[in-house]
Formats: sequence, C-alpha cells, structure tokens
Amino acid sequence: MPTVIFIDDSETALASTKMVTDSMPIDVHQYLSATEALSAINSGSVTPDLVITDLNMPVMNGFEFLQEFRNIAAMKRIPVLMLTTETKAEMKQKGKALGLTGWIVKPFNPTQLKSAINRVLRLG
Amino acid sequence: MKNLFVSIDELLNHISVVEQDVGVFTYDAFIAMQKYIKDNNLVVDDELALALQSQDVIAQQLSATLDAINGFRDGIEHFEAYLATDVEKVKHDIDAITKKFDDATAKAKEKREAYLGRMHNQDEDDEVEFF
Repeated sequence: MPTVIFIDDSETALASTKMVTDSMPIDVHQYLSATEALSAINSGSVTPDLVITDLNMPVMNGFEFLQEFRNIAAMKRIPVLMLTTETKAEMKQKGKALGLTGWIVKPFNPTQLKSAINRVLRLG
Repeated sequence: MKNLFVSIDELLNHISVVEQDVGVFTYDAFIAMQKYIKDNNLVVDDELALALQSQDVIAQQLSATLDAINGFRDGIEHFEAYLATDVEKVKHDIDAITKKFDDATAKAKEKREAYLGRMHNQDEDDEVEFF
C-alpha cells in the first residue's frame, strides 16, 4: 500500500484530508510541521511514495520543505503536491522550479483530490 | 494624547479577543461536524468538504488580522513610551510609526488574498494543476 504524507500546520485541514482519503488504499501519515515530517523521513520511520504539503506554515514553509526534501538522495523523484490557498501564478512557477509535481488549491474538491492522488500514484 | 492611545489599544485588544473566540468557536464546530460524520458513517461530498475546510480558511484569515492588530499594538506601545520620555522624539518618529501601521495593514490585506484560495471562485477550473 503506497505511503502518503500530509503536512499542514492546521489540525482541521489534516482532519479534512484524512476524512476524504480514508476510503483510499493508501497508508496516510500526517504531520503538523514540515520539520516534524523531515525528521520522520530522515530517521527512516516513514518512506513516502507521495507528499502533499501546505505552503504557508510557520518555521518551515512548503517551499523550504521541498528544497530540503529534494536534498535527500532517495527523495529526489518522489512526487510532491502543494495543497494551499495560494493561487498566484508566480508562486506556482517557483514551486515548479523547485521540483514540485503539482498544485492543488484549497478548499479542495474531494473527487479532484482523490483523482490527483490516484494519478500521481498510478492507482486504479 | 495618552488617553487616546489607551482607548485605541483597548479597542484593538477587544477585537483581538473576539477574533480568538471566533477561532475557538469555529474549531469546536469543526470537531462536532467531524464526530457527526464519523458516528453516522457519512461520505464527505463536495459540499461537506467545503464546510469542513471553511474552519481552516477562517482561522488563517483571523491569524492574518491578528498579526496586523499586534503590529499596531506594538507601535502604540512604543509611541506611548516615547510620549512619556521624549516628546521631541515622538514628533520625529511619527512618520516611521505611521509607516509601520500602514505596512501592518498592507500585509494583512495581502494575506487576506493569499489565504482565500477558491472560497470566492469554486466554479473555476483551476483547482488542480500538474507541472
């Protein structure tokens, strides 16, 4: 079963994504900060097949996470989706330049979120 | 002039407290909805997902406004301290403090746009984009 990491500093945002993805054949791990997620990845306690992260977060934002994540040799090709309220084209371009796989704007539509996960993980 | 600042600070403090209350109320509403969905095995459809995510957007909007309010309150605090010790410095620094207030407001407005996401344009087909 593929492992999907969700990172968001909002407890309710994580709860929303959990409720929507509960029926999917994926193993979901959730973190309230990017640093917490990186620690888990670096320690080997979780190996993601996909990461879905918020952009605007304290301490380490989604772009900073992406840079750190891509510096981990085993994570260079792991897809990362940004799930954010941010809609500016220049922000999307920045994400693309940093190696982001895709951009999902909040509030997300459950069908489209699940479809995006299926597409990236190549699930049925 | 000091009384004027005390009054403004009290109002800002009141707004701040009310906003924090709203944050708690919307969080509690979310938890109640989450429990109801779980207890009744409901499927989270598009409308329900939007309602659930509204709490997150509300919380982010409130945090942006609270940042601005805190910026104003800091400015007022410094201004009051100068007023008590060095009136000449107050005259000199009034432009700098005004700029600080304007910057706090501009930042809050910018965050309002950045944190709205698709709240006002859910019909637009820009939700998911792959690179």
